[in-house]
Amino acid sequence: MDLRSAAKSFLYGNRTIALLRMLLGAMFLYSGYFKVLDFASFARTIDLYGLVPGVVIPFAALTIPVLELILGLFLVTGYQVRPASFISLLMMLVFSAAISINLARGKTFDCGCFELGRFGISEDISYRLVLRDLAMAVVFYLVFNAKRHFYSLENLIEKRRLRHV
Amino acid sequence: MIDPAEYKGLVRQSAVIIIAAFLLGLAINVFHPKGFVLVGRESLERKKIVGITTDEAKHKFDRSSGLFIDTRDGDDFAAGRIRGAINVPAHPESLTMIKLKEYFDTISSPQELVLYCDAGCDSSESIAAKIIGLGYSRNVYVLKDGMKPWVDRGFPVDNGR
Repeated sequence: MDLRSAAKSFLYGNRTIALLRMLLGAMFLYSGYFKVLDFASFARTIDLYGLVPGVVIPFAALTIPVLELILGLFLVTGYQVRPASFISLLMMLVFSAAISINLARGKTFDCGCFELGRFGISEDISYRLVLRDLAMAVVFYLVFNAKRHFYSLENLIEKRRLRHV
Repeated sequence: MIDPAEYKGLVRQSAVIIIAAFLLGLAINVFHPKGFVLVGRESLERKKIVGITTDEAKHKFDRSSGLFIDTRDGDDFAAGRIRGAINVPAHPESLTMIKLKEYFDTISSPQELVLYCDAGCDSSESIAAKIIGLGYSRNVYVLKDGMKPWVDRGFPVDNGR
């Protein structure tokens, strides 16, 4: 297989895309789970960004972790992949913007992104984190744009449907 | 890329997912062991000192759920006070701090704090702020109309030192 057809297959949706989709989905499940355990400390993290009005913070703190869990579940199982990857893409763009604004303000604090601090990986806001989130946004775009999703419920359902046609 | 009809469907599906996440978040919060108060940070801070009426204070008195703190000076306290009240005068400040330390265990008890002074005075608010400053995390109640309506209505009082 030459490079061109490999790229074509990648963009159309091959096993690598499926693997990336599941990997990012698992990451959402992991980070969402730890945030759901303690909504209040996630609310304090949102507050640190200084971008959301005080009255909105508790509602955002309740919604984002559960949203991460739902998106994670959809991405891992390959169900509702298109809307899930679309929301994920938007979230990554919003997170990148929020971190960039606070870097410009000269602030430093834990970004509260993926709970990687538990593995000893620092998640203090930095341009490296902005690049990481943008890179994830690119991957979500590729997943969003893919026409075929290997190892997905959608694929399975479609196959079953076609068998009965 | 994406055609307008598909875009509409995509936005609708995304909205459904986000709303579902929000509702599920609310539901989880109800049963969450670390239940989360759904008000902004500012309103939480502002609400810490809460003004109450004489009737509301009497209700706390009857249920023995309130610890009454008289914030007037020692002479006024001796002349007449709400039954069971303790005295933490607002002036001089050094005495306030000594009294707060003296009563620290009582103040930290599960009872709700109800502070009062004369009508129109602000010593209750200033001492309430000091108590919150010491790390007291619950609401502190202040009798809005002061001591006088309590006496006028014949509610229980004590006198003497």
